[in-house]
Amino acid sequence: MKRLLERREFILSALAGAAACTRQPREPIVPWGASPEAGAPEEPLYFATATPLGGFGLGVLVKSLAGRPVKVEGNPEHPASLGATDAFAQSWLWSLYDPGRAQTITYNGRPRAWADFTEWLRRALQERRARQGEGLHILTQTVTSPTLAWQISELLDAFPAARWHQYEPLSRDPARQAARRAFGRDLHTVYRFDRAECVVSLDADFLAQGAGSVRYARDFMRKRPRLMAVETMPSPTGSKADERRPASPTEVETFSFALAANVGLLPAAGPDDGAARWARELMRHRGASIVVAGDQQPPSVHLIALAMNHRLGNLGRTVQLTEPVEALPALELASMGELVRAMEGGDVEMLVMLGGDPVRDAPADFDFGAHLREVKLRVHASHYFNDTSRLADWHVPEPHPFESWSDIRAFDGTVTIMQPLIAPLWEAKSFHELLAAMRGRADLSGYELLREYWRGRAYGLFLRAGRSLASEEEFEAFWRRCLHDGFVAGTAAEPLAVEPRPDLVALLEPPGRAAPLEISFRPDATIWDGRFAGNAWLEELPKPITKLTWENAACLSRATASRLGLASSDVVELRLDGRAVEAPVLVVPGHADGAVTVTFGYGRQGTGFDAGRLRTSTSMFSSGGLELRKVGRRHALATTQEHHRMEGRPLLGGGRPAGARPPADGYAWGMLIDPAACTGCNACVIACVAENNIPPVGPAEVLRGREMHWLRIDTYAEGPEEALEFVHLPVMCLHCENAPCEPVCPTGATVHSAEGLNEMIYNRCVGSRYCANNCPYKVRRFNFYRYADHGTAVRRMLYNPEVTVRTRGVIEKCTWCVQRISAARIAAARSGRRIRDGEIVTACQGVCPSEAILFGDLNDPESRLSRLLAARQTAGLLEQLGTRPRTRYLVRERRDG
Amino acid sequence: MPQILPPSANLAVRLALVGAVTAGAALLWLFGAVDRSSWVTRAGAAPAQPVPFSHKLHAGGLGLDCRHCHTLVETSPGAGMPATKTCMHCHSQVFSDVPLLEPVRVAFEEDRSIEWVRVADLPDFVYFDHSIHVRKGFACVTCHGRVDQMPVVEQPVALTMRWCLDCHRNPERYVRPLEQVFSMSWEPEGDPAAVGARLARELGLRRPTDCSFCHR
Repeated sequence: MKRLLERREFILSALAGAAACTRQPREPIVPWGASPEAGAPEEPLYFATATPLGGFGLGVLVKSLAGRPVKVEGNPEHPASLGATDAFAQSWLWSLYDPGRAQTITYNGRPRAWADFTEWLRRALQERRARQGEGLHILTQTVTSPTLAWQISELLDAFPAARWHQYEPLSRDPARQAARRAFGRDLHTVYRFDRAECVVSLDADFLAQGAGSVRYARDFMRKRPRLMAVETMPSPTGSKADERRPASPTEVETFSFALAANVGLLPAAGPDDGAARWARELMRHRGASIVVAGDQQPPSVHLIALAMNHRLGNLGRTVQLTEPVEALPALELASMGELVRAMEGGDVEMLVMLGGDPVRDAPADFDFGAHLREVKLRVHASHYFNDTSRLADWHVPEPHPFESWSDIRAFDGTVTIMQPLIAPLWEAKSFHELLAAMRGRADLSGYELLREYWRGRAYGLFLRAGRSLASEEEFEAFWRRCLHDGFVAGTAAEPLAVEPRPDLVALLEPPGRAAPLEISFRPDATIWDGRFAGNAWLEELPKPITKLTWENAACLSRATASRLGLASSDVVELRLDGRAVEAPVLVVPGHADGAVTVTFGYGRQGTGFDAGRLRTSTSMFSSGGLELRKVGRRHALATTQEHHRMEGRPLLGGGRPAGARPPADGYAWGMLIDPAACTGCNACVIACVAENNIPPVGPAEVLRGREMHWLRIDTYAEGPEEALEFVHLPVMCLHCENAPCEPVCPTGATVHSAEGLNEMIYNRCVGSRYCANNCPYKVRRFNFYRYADHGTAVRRMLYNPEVTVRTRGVIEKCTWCVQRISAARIAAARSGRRIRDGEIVTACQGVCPSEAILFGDLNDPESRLSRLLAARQTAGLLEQLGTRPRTRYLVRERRDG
Repeated sequence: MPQILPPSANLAVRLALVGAVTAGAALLWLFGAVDRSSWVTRAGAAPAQPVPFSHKLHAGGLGLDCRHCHTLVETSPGAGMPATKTCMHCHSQVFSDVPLLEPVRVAFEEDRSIEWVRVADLPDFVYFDHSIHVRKGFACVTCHGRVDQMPVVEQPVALTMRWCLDCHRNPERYVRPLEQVFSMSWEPEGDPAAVGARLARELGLRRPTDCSFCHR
């Protein structure tokens, strides 16, 4: 029966007019002057480059649309990436279009030209040339760039009395010290989790932190070795452990000694059942086990790990030692110490600081800022005008990695030549150009410098491969090959056959008794050492386990909190060696008793507290003797822990009501998620943000539960405190076949497609929010304000043109990257074929290091998805409600014993 | 207490009530009418362009294929607008000194773009793809009209969603043989309904009305 007035006609006749009485402005079409070779402006181009972190590179392919970089994907051929990325690599897009970056060369805060700077530089260096460069000091972060290292060594040749210092706040000093003690030289460690059967982590977050973590997570999750972890603060790695033991920093060390004793390396100190069991497990897998010591562990723990790997026959098999990847491996704390002592002694006349923010980052007792003021000539180059820049005479903006030429090495030594995708948005000079200017060659561009270095280097590489580099054409082919592939073939560090000295651990002093309260300093899971502070994409990521956004907290265990009479959100004063800082408390399940974990890097942009103010050269990563005093105030923490709760219903395995199968013709999209593989690393969340133009909302709105992330990772901790089991559950719109959101929408703005997508049509949405109310999974997000930045021109460059930028008053949610489905459907239909299995990769699936997400066609019985669904036991979330979600979860197979 | 309002006030209230409802309805009708009007949809409007390019002369008179200039129409979402260099391929030889083409010559010499005014403009929340429409047998002329007869190009129909859906629901009414997609003047031989049904079958046409095909 035909209704008197169809809904569509009603809307057409009246409401649409009222809603859309704006007239579209006339828009220009701007064609090329001359068409480039690249083709259509809508066709994406991918450029292979790398994103840096702590000196190490991660190979990526950056998608460029009409000359704008709009998305970062992993480089499938790069050994550190294998197609995946971490959250940091994704975040570089936000900073590319960040108008807060330093935009001009300044002298004492006033804009100056590059020529002014180079002239000043020439004069300053001329004075010092006569004295062999005495008084000239250069401070860099960890350098793996072969070209930069070559330039620095050339500079040091010209100024033999000049000094080069390296410092990263998250140095890998303890591992370097251990290698030097064990082998008498610097060595680099690469783990082969693809060969491991049994892994012990000594507070090492190898699945989510460090240069190799993306690759390690892939290898680990494909192999799934047994994992036993001892750690202070629950980490993504610890959350995947078959057996997890919370321990304060001293206890971690004590436990390492006990473990060593149980494999016969040390005389037994005291009985420890856990250590004995873990040691037995390790010894059952000789040659196929790994003991990993965390980067923030003291040298003794690194030595024990080395000695155990040696004793277990893992060296050369699962634990490979190579030549160092750093250009000049240095004990960075000592290197910084030398610089500070030289500054104290008045020996530093000119200090050139390339990158970093040492005024903030250097140990508090070094008082770097005060000493820096005494230096006569100060130059600083960095992305942002930070505290160090303020104290420098000259500040030179550092170009973004997607704006400049450079090179960098990955965790295994593989070199990537980093190529720009876009001309610098603002004035910037790369470190290469700055160093060239110091050598009097201010005219050379980064490109020319890179080419000059690699022209020389290519001869060696060709020679090693048994070929000769005869002509310029051959170099050109080599250069193009490197840029195309995203890495320089044959530059990975070869494993070395080295033997540690025999008396490795015999001389080690076991730690004393643990102090009543210890403090542990950790890199932040979102802003790292503070270098990403202000990056809203990262700041708003809920940190793994704590789900804290925009700030840090003093994390401690439930037992310690109740012993000290504290609860989450209480503000306390942390006091260590006479230095104090105020911080809000956060009780974290699974945290070790008797310890407080803080992350540094905060306190710069008005959010969080600066834990770096407590950190001294003697307590770089942990310390005893922490005093804690309740201040009496409370601070609301912007954590998303309790947001979007599913009302305590049984989540998985609630039974499955019968229902009809999807239609058998056409496509029927589906997704499978493996919670057992998910480490909660957040790469998928930020990839979704980047792909789908999801705006950050800021801490105040997060506190109101209004974060916009389409994809969230729910973390559950079950069981007794000392043996908690963590489960990470990535939850986005599950595209229910029987979706509760659809019938309640008054305007038909959310409907079902023939291919099984639960569609969200923004231009129909009037913002009633009934759908969000009726969604049992709480995956729908509402634009309470106009969160997306429509106004700032440079910010608008960030948006993916394939996805609508939403405005105020509409609901949005995961679309399964419908733009990627459409693109694949059109490409397939154009050539008259079906979409191939694996042709559509959602943004979250593409970047996942542990391959926890799979998208595919249910109507294709040969698709990977169909085959896995047939072979493995799966469950739908809250299936008992009869929603028939298309996204299903693999049921975890428990490992006993 | 005396009455404040006289009995005639009842009538005034009744009239006011009726008037309010009528005025509300009229306002709604007005909104709808304005929204569908050619003032909003710009149907039939022929905006002035920086260069008085005549499709009538180029496509009609000279018989240039659409793809001579709109090169990307078979492979990409946008049809592709000709680069300045494309114009100069011919106009460096013919009419190389007429004053009307001065903006083209200047743009070419300075390697700049000519900023055309967009005539067929969809809202930003609509994702249209030329390549798939062309590949499925839908002709340029179906949406853009007889540009070969337009001295100044105009949008002949209002690009409303109702208009899109008319074709998406009844593709057999508009489909053509693939070799006639770029023709301006093709007419089906025989019964149009039978030809359309046959073509739709041969080309495997569906009736795509899923929202997310166009809105995402």
